[in-house]
Amino acid sequence: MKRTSDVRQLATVATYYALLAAMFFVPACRNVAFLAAACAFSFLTAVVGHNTLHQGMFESKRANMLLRYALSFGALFPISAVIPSHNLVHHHFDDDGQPDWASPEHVRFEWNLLNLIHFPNVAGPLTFNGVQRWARIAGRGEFRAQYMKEQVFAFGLTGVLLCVDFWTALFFVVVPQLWGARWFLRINIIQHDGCDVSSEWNHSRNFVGKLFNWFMMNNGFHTIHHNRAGMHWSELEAAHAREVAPRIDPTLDEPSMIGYLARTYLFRFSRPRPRDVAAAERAEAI
Amino acid sequence: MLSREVMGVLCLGVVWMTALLVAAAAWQELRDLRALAKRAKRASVGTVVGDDLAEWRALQTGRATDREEIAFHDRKFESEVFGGRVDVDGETIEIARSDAEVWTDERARREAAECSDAKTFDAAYAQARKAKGFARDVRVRVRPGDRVWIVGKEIVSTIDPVAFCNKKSLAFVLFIPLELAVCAAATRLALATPHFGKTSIAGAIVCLAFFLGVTPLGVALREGARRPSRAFLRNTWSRRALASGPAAAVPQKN
Repeated sequence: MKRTSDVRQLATVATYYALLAAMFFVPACRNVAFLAAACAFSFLTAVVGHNTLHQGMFESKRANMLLRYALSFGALFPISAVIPSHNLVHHHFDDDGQPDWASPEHVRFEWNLLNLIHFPNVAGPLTFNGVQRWARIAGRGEFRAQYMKEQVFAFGLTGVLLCVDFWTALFFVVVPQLWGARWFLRINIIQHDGCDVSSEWNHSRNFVGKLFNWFMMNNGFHTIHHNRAGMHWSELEAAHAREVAPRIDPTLDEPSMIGYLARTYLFRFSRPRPRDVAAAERAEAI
Repeated sequence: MLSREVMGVLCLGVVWMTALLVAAAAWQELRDLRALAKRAKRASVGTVVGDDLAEWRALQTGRATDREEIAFHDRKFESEVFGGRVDVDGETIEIARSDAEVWTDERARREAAECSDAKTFDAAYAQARKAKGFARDVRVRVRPGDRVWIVGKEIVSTIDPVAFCNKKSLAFVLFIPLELAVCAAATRLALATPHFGKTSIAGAIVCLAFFLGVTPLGVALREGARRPSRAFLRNTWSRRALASGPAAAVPQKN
């Protein structure tokens, strides 16, 4: 391993697999607590996928590729899709002139909660269509091969489990897989809706809670992650304090994601009106 | 312990929520199309006289594929009304210069995006193989003699905008009940007795397939209903198609 801090990432993936295995093999584990934990760890495993696609966990390329299979099964989609969809498109907030495949503008219900729920229904297909178009280009044969292998592994293993015990696999493996994949897409609207993606420091919403970031491997510090995509996740908190906090509109530093979700999607009906969050940044630039 | 019954109801709830959200999103598109059709009914219809009236442009980047093709990506769409004159029932009206949307028919856009010959392809392919890609503009002009629909200051169109809206609306009108009917049929199958038996398993598989398949369908429908001024071209030039004759050189849609 390149960094010892990545043990936390491996432990996250291992915990998720252990939860799935427990529910699949031990009937007593098929309860609300295990299912909720599996759904949460499915999402966290997708976050690990995101981190490792920015910076491989292992020195060995083969080990990194093998980990991608495990991550692909975890979220029931080929995790390598993150390379074009996230690293190359989302980090620039556009697809070479067209909107980011995961742009919040793709949903427009008046009841804001519906935007949160519906978002993966639009961002998912746009992402996979975009990945298909991207993968066609010459010189991306290695990506196509890996992408295909990940699909075979993820869908193949899921298919095997469905054949062994259909209902248990559907309820206690596929449900967590899809939960994680869909919240992984949903995080985009949470982190960017109402932000100014054209600005340097106010394009993202950060969630700065300590406990939250321990489990999320510092992915709450999203501004600095966008601005320094190659920075290892373990360094994001310090970099956020040093570079982002003095420059960002304070309302984009949220203490709690749960609080933000409740305030934005549960306790209000309409979508918050866009606010000029980058006004101070522009004024300083002048 | 979570029983199969509880989990089954939970999963069906998620499938139905998705079905209803996709239907609601389709309804939004339909509502917008009907509002546009209502405005377009008041369009002035005439023939362009004098100079070119307007232009539609798609700014594209072409990149080589591994199959001796150039796959084009639409970076930006632009519309420009130069201003000019339109003969409406024998009366000439002046059209002011504006940024109104320019709608042209799909065939004209696709023809303008075609590759004319192998020499053009080879020159473009050499550029398309580089990281920067092959940049070009596809242009369609609204010329003298063209029949046009002028929808206020909003649209200058060479196709009937009401007919366009009606055609696209029909797709949504059919999709919404059909999608919900498929969901209902899948649910019925999943709830077949004996519960959690073989028929029920087949129903659950159909429900899962529906859950995974209905969202790409909804997105495809929405993309297919984009206004002609910003409808994706995403065409492909193929060396092989050029070699097999002009008819085969028509770009393939992705």
